[in-house]
Order: sequence, then C-alpha cells, then structure tokens
Amino acid sequence: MKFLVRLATKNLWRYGRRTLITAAAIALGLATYVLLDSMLVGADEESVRNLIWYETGSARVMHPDYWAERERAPLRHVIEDPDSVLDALRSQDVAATPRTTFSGELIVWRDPFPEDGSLLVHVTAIDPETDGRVYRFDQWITEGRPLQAGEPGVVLGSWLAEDLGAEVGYPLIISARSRYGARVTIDAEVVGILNSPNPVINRGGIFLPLDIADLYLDMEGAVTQIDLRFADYARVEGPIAELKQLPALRDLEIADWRLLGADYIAMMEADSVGSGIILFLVFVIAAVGVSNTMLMTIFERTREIGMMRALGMDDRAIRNLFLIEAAGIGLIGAAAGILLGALGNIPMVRVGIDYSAMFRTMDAGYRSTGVLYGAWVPSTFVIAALMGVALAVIVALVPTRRALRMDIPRALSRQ
Amino acid sequence: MKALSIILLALIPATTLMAQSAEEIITRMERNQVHDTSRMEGRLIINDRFGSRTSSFISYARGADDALIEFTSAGERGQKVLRTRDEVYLFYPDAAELIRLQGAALRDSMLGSDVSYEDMTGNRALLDNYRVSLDGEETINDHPTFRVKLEARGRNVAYPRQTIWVDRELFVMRRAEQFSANGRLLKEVEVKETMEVSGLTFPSRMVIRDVLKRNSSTEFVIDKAEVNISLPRNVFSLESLRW
Amino acid sequence: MISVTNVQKQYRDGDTTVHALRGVSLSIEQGEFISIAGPSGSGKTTLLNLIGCIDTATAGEISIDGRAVAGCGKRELAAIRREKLGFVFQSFNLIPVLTAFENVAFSLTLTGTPDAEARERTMRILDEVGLAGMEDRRPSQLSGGQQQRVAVARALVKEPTVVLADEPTANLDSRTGHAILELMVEMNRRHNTTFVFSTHDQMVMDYARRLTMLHDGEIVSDERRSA
Repeated sequence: MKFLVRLATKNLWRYGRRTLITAAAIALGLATYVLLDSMLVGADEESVRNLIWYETGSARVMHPDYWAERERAPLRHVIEDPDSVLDALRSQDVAATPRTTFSGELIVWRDPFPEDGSLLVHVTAIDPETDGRVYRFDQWITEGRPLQAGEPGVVLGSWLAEDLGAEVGYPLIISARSRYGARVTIDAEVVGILNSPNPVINRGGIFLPLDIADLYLDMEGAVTQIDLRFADYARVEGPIAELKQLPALRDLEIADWRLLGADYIAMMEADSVGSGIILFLVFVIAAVGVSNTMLMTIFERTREIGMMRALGMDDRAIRNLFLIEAAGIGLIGAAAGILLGALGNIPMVRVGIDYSAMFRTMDAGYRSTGVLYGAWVPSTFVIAALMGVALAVIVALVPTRRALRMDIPRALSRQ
Repeated sequence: MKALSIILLALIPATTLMAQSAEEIITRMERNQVHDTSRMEGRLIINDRFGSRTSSFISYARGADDALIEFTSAGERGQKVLRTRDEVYLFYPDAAELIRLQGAALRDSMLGSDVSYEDMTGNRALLDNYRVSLDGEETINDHPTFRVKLEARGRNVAYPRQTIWVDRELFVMRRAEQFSANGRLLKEVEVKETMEVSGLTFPSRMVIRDVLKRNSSTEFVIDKAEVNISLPRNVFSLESLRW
Repeated sequence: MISVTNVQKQYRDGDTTVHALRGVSLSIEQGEFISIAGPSGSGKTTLLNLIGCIDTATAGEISIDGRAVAGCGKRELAAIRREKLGFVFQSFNLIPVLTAFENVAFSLTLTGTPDAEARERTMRILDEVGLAGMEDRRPSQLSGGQQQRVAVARALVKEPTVVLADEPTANLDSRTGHAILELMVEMNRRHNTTFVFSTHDQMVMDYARRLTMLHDGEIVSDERRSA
C-alpha cells in the first residue's frame, strides 16, 4: 500500500498539467458549491431574522379559533383580557406586546395624493410603548417619526408609501368594520415611513396606535394577538412549552414563527429543493469535466496497465493505484476549491451582494430587502471536501475497471 | 276623565310624539317599498374610472327577506344572487358553481358596483335595527320630505347611522345617507324617479354613491314591475339557482 | 520444464475465426536459449503469450515447472507470472515515473521481497547489465538500449524460471540490438536462465541455440544448434 501511494504520488506529479486541470475543475465546482451554499444559508438566516424581528416575533398568543380565519383578520376571535396574559408573561420575563390586526380598506384622495384610490389592506395596530420589546421598527423609520399613543397616525411601509405617493403629513382614511360589524372610518395622518429590512413589511405594512384601533373598532380592551420575543429568538420549543403551563394562557393558542411565517418556510423548503438541484447540477458538471480527463488519463496508460499485469501485479492493486491517484486529484481539487470558496466567501460575508433592485420588483419570498450576506457553514466545507474526493474516485472507477477487463496482449499492443 | 287624558297627553314628551310619527313614516314607506311579492326587470348602471357599463336583471322578491336576482345582460348572463333571511348565495353558470357568502364576504361589492351584497338587505325592516327620530322637514328635488334620523339599536348594524328623506305625500324615499360609527358619510342614495304599481309607490331610478371611493356611482333602474303576484314555488330555493 | 502439448488458439476477428495456433507441441528445457520465429501472423507472439500466461489456450496443455496452466484463475496466473516468469517487451515498457533502480525493484516489490534484500539484488543485477551508476535515472534520461537493459534486469532480478522476450530488439538499432543479445546470452550462461524469444529478426535467430519456426500456427521446423 505504501508503495502504491508513493507510485500514485509520483504519477500525479509526472502528469502535473492534467492533474492540475482535473483538480481545477473539481476546485471550481466545489468553490461554486461553497459560495452558493453560503449565499443560500446566509439568505435563510437573514430571512429568518427579518421574519422574526419585523413580522412574526418568536411566537404569537392568540384565540384558538383565530388562526383558521387569519386571512380575513377577523375581530371575532380575540384575547379578551390581554393584561392578565401580559402580566403572566412579564412574570416569566418574556418580552411581549399586544397587537390587533384587522382588515380594511385604505382610502386616499387626490390632492395631496396623486390620485383617488382605495386598497384592501391588513392594518396592524401596535402599542407604541411596548412594541419595541418584540419588534425593531423605530430605527427604520426613514421619514417622519414613530407612532404615538392616542393620536390617529399611521406609519406606512416604504414601498406601499411609494406606490400610493404618500408622504409624511398626508391624510388618509381607513375604512373597516368594528368588532361587531359596524362600519367605521378612521381619519388618520401619515406620521412616518418605514423602510425595514423585511420586504413584506415594506410592501404592505400599515401601522396604527393600538388605543386608536381599540376606540374605533369597539374592541373594549381586547386584542387579536400578543406577540412574543424569546431571548434566543429563533429557538421556540422550550419557551413555548413553558408558557403553555401558565394558567393565564390556558385557553389561548401559541403559534411559533415557523407557523406564522409558513409561506416563507414553505418557500424556503421549496427553495432548498431548488438549490439542491442546482448543487446537483454543479456536481454533475464537475463530474463530467473530471470524468473526461480521468478517462483520458487512464486510457492513455492502458499499456502501462497491461505491463503491470504482465509482471504479475494484482488487478486489485492496479485498481487501487488508479483510485489513489484519483483521490489525490480530488484532494488537491478539494483543497483548492475550499481555499477558493473561503476566499470568495470573505467578501460575501463582509460586503454581501446587493439585490435591492431585484427584491423591489419581484416577490422572491425572501425576507430581505437588499444586501444579502453569505454565511460560514463549516459543514459545507467538510461536505465539499468529501464530495471532491468521492467525485474523483467515482469517475475514475469506471475507466479503470474497463482497462482491467481488457486482455493483457491487447492492452500491451495499445500505443 | 277628559281632563285626565289631556294631562296625560301633556306629560308625554314632545319627542316621543315625534318619534312615534317617525316610526310611522318609516312604516308607511316600507309598506310602499317592501312588497309581499314582486317581479321586476331593471338595469344596474355602474360608472367608475373604467367607464360606464350596464347590467340588466330580473328580480323576484318576497317580503323583506327573500330575493332572487338573475342577470340577463351578455357579460353576466345567468349569474344569480339568492338572498334568504340569513344567507346569500351566488351562482356562476360558466363554472356551474354555487358559492355561499358568509361573514365578511357579504361586504364585497356586487358586480363592482357601489352596492354590496350586504346592502341588498339595507332598507329592509329598518325599525328592527334602528331607533328612528324625526329631524325636520326639507324639500328634495321639489318634493317636500320628512328628514328621519336612524340610530342603530345594536353595535352589529353595518351602518350605525342613517338619514332618510321620505316624501311627505307619497311616503317614498327621496334620498338617504349612510354614516360610519364615527359619523363619516359613507354612501348617498338619491332617488331620481318613482313608479306606482297597484297603488304602491317605490323608487324606480336611484343613484347610489360610495362617497369614500369618489368618481364612482351606481344607478339602479327598474323598467318594469309587478307586485303582489303569485310567484312559482321554490323560487327562493337553491334548486332555482340551477334552472 | 516448459511443456506445450497440442495447444490450439482460436479467436474471433469480426466474422471470421482466426486459427492462430493449430496444435503446437513443444518442450523447453532449463537453460535453453530458444527463438520462436516466423512471419507475422504465424502465431509466434500468440505462443509466447500463452507460455507467458497472459493469454489462455483454446485447447491443449501448457505446464511450467510441472504446473499445469490450464484451469488457473486470474489471480493464480498473476502469481505464476510474478514468481516464475520474466518479461522483456519490444517497447521496453518501463514505468516512466520510476528510476531505473525502482523499475527493477518493482518486480521484487510485487513478490514481497524484503527491502534490504531487494535493494541488494537490484543493485547487483543493475551492475551485471552494465547500468552501475545509472540507477537513479528515469527512463526518459536513458537511451533505448539502456532502457532495454533495465527491462532485462527487471525480468532477471526475481530469478525467474523463464524470461520471455517479444521482439526485444525491434526498437533498437542493430549495434544496440547486438549488445542486448550479448547481454542475454551472458545472463543465460551465468544464471542458467531459460530465454524464449519471439522474433522475425535474423539477428536474434542467429543468436538462438534452438530455432523453432512457425508457419500458419504450426511448427514447421525445430532445430538445435551448437553455440
């Protein structure tokens, strides 16, 4: 075996250029894999963060029947006594804020708006005092100011504001139904515009102070939801299990961000199938490139194989020799690919790639508005390295076996 | 005895007298406008920023609850809307599909007009839903009218406040305004023409405006009407939707 | 020592069956220096391949050192080649990445000879074939004649029963060819190793002490000559 390794090493060295070309193909494939994976994992991490920080919180407490009808944002199934729930949550040191989401029609009129219009919307009423414990909007208010309790002001997502032609100070009307079904209208003024890292919020976010919603919608203190953020925002199983023990939450449902952001999660899963296919294609392309040179290498050395067999070398030893050579090429390729991928990943993690133009126009489902950053995923590097070696060995297997099936005189007469 | 009656009458506040008469006004108006049975042919003319379009229909009604509208114009031929006491059903012939409208879906606009499915129930049995009071008298389009204020009895009434102008002589609606809970005008109904059939007078041409939407109005025209006739059995049943 | 009894070899070439050998019998004794000659297509290379255990006969018996070859599996044949047979090829067939020393020692590596012994035997044989001082050169740094000397050394270093040489001088100029043949004669004399050639080169035939002529897969003459 030692002899085989030595011989294989010498062969790699002797066929240096081909070794390099083959290894380079592997390296390129692996670097692509590493960078692609970094980008996807980075996008997922960022999306999860933006989903939780701006859209769903870590989890949401709500009436058990609310979830089934959430599309209509009904005010029928509410938390009647949010204060007792909030007190209970406070006793557990869980960051929580009450919210009421309702559906309505946003009505804007020409002058100051560019034209008359109406839009079916979901309005989120937030408690300006406590919302910041769970969500992080205030730093993203790019124009105007945050909401204040008691004033009929709205904060609009920046893309929505842009689509409507809204600016700070513009009046608008929210037409909705009270909790009991009566028509209500809320005359409000745009006080702030929100440009958050979450495109869903920017595209459709309309925020109103909770006390205003309570008054107009006849809520009498009830809210549709209490949103939570846990210390480790994405890890929810443990905290939720604990909260379910609280008597104040006994008759309520707790949904975690995975359920609340199910559209995103579904997309992420569909996406991981897609990226799996892309990664598989990268693998196939690398395999084709590598198998070609590997085939040439082995084909060219048919006579050498014949000679070694004539001298009485075992077929298995010969096959091992060629597989060790292939593994060597794979190893070189893997090392180079990982180095290349790591080098390429540094700017991806630090600087990122700016997709803002793309995300503005298309709804990719990612909860990210602009710059996507790569991520360091150690397991990817390990997988890439193993894949590189495995790839080289697998593609060497077939031509080696074919060369060994040839009878010795034929192999020897091969020029 | 007579003196006692006079004292008793004097004790009843004037507002009560007014209110009673307001109820009477509404009752007389509804007697005119809500028919035991009816069959009408008419048109719905919808004007919005996309232009003007007309849908013609035949409607059958029984009392305040049951109504069936079948559209006959080319674009929506065969579409039907059935309203019973608690439910509204839509039938689309192309899809042979029956849809039951519930909850918030009732608030959707009918054919993109300023009328929602819920509004179809609007002026029926007003006294069940509203406390009414006489607010004064006014002349609308040369017709002297009573101005009657309606205040919802419960919190679940779609339009918490309304004002209806009722013709003093014919007891037919001349105009109506509907408000949100906090007093913003939402809809205006203006009666342009009335029709008399079998001694009953009711609006035959109305313009309905969704004030919030601006630039849009829906005109509701009745070309032909028969009232208190016998209707085929099962008209207001689900089977009738699939004729 | 080597006995070939009524050996036939047929193989298919497209639609036709080629009768490469039509019943050849031959007996080769220890220390012989025999040339199997004949025009191309006469079956001489086929016969050499059969004796060399890199091809199998369609019918007939071959035994080497009393061991019958027919019925041996691939691994047994490899073992026979490894231990009893040495090969010298027309085109030298050295392993290009190994030095002269390593190429020769390769034979011993395959037989599992201990390193120290392999080293000693390799150096000795290299010295005998006249390559002392060149053991660290790679094939590309050696002339054709020198490469063939390495090949001869590689064949002899394991002290085989028989060395099989297929046209060993075909790729060499006549002077170098003579030198290689002289070397083989010398080795034959010194080690009493059996040499079997296949050739159509008159020069090689001239060196042979026994000349077996093949024609159309049959032996047409078999004569012994005194040296």
